[in-house]
Amino acid sequence: MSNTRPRRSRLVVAREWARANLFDGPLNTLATLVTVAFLAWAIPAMVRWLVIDAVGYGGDPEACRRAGGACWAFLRVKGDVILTGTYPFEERWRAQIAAGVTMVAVAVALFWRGGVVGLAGLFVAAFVADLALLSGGIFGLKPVDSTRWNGLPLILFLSVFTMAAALPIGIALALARQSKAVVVKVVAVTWIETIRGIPMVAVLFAGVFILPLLIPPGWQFSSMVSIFVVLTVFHAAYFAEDFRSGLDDFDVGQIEAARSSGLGYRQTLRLVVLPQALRIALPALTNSIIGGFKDTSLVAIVGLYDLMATARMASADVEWQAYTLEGNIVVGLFYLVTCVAVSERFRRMAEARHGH
Amino acid sequence: MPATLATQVSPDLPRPRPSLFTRRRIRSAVWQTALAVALLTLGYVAHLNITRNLAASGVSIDFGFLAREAGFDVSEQLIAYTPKDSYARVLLVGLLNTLLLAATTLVAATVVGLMVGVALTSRNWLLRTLARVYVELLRNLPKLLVILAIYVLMVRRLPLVRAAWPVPGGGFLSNRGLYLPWPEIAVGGLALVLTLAVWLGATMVWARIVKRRQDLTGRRLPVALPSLAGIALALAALLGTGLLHVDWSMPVLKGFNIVGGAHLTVQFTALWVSLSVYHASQIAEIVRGGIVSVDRGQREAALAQGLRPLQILRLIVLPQAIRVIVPPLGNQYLNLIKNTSIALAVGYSDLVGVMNTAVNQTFRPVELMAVVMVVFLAINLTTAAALNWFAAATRPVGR
Repeated sequence: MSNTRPRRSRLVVAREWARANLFDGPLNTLATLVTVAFLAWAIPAMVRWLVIDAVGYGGDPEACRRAGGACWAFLRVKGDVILTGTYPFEERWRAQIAAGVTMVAVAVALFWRGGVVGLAGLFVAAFVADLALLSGGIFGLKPVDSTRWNGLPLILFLSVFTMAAALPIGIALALARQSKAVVVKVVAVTWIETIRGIPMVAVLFAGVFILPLLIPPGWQFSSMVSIFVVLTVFHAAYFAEDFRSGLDDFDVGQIEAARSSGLGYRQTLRLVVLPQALRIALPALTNSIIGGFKDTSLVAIVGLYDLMATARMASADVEWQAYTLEGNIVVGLFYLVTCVAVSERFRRMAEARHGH
Repeated sequence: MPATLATQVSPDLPRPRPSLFTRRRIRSAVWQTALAVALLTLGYVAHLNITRNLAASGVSIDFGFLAREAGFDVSEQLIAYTPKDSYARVLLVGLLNTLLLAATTLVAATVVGLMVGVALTSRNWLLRTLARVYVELLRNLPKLLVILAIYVLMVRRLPLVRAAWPVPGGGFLSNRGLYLPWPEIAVGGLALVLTLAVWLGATMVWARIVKRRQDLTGRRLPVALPSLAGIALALAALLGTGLLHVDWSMPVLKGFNIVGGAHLTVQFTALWVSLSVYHASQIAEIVRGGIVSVDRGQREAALAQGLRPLQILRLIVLPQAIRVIVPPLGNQYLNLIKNTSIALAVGYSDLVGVMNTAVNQTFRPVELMAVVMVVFLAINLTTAAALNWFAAATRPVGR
């Protein structure tokens, strides 16, 4: 008796839960049945392709030809190509370490408890380290042309450092937009609205086509520099708009209070306005940061090799042509994990600050 | 202690108020002038550099080339186009392709987004969880990845043309795209337009009469059913009397190709599906936010008054949620229109794609980028104006 009672009650609980959540009325029951039918069709097909009919990571590439499912051995053979693309093979450890440095910098920044100066120093240090590792030419490292910075190190380098540079510019733009000085305001509004009005792909093309024309003849710079600059300009406009929502919701009385208690303009800004406005803008900023990270993949359209381009490169050989999807799935998993982790961390930060 | 504090903020400290005020204004004016001069100088230097750089490759800024022969083909076109046509024409072809993709995606993404958004608030655990998985998955993947994956899947997994899958209603789906039956109006285009106009007017008048009656008597007469019945009868009459004659152009398999009907290329279909699916996930979250913003109590009150769940959604929840939904939805629409420029990734000839080809052929990046920027800013301003109008129209009146 004492054995059966908890089991029975659990069954009753389950039945009640099912009735309340799945079969509550005809419409709900219909929805449940349709959903179950869909899952019953989709899940077995997916499991069959992903697992049952698939060739494992350690499997024989030859077996992939005969198998009806996914070919995970593709990742073992072509993993290096997906990660670092055309980066010289014997030097690829440099690109791998560079990617690691960027990721560690982001992880440290997400749990940073120090001041702003230290945070800026962290990003500058990581930037310099990445640049030295990727381009070489110092410490006896072989020089590597920036067209061969591909895959994971490239997208981490471009997304993290352009956004890190864009954040202070974005804050300045948002403040400039509210400035009483007409010239300052016009510059800020033009910047923000023009960039926000045109697609990122067009902005990237502007970097490739227009930016090199703006510098004196004879000066040379790679498209990597152009892309870095326009991405920073692009992100700054969006951050400025997010930050403006923070400034708009900010209580003006606090500024007056700060000023009347003797704080100057800069002190008021640094101690009173910015910390609170940043907190209000954090959810919007999170969205822009995640979006900016994902959209950095669009550099593939102007000829840089992001992770999707290297995944395609990996399946360029005739014998591997059938496995683009496997590469895309792994790249997708990478984005899924990083985006969820970062946005979750930002959400915690927003909540923690809210508690104070 | 209080004494020192008092001396610090002593009110009778000499303060040249008016002169400080003017000094601050002068200082600001000086700074602004300096900034303006710096910007103008920078602009002038940029202009000089552009001219010199372009001169080095033997061109100068001149929009005259737009009238010259483009000489390249596009993947698909809505208006007649051959490589013999001008650059201006090919840019127009690209713009129309962009607008077609944007419009069809906007409709599909809104419909799917609305359904998934409602599913996100469903009491049905299974449905809600499935919708949540869909939204979170799509929100955390780059759209380029979604598009490339769907494109690859379509090209690889769909059958060849000669083994194309039939689509209910007479269409075909193959790895060359989607073929659908297409109505071609042989006779009576004008009659059709007139009938539709009369029908629209009559429906609006009827809706107003119904509304007035409901306000007076509390009894509601049906609107949707008579309206649909009316147009069905009218169309049947037009077709029956021969005033309107529609030829359905059916896609037919002929040898290695499918002829007739409307052909949506695999590029367009992949873009349309993936952009719709991608933006639907964002719209769903906006719709959910709007729905949960409506007070639960209202739903319970409506339930207690005997309204059915779908009626509650349509009459109580959505009209109020729409006010919360519209502003972020507008932003989403603007994003969607801009995101169509990703089309280049799969070789669909949208405006940016055509621009890219044209730049590579003519080396006129400045003029072509200017055209694209002006077009996108114009599209954005028009859409924003339409959305503002809509937001004003759905704003609650006098409460």
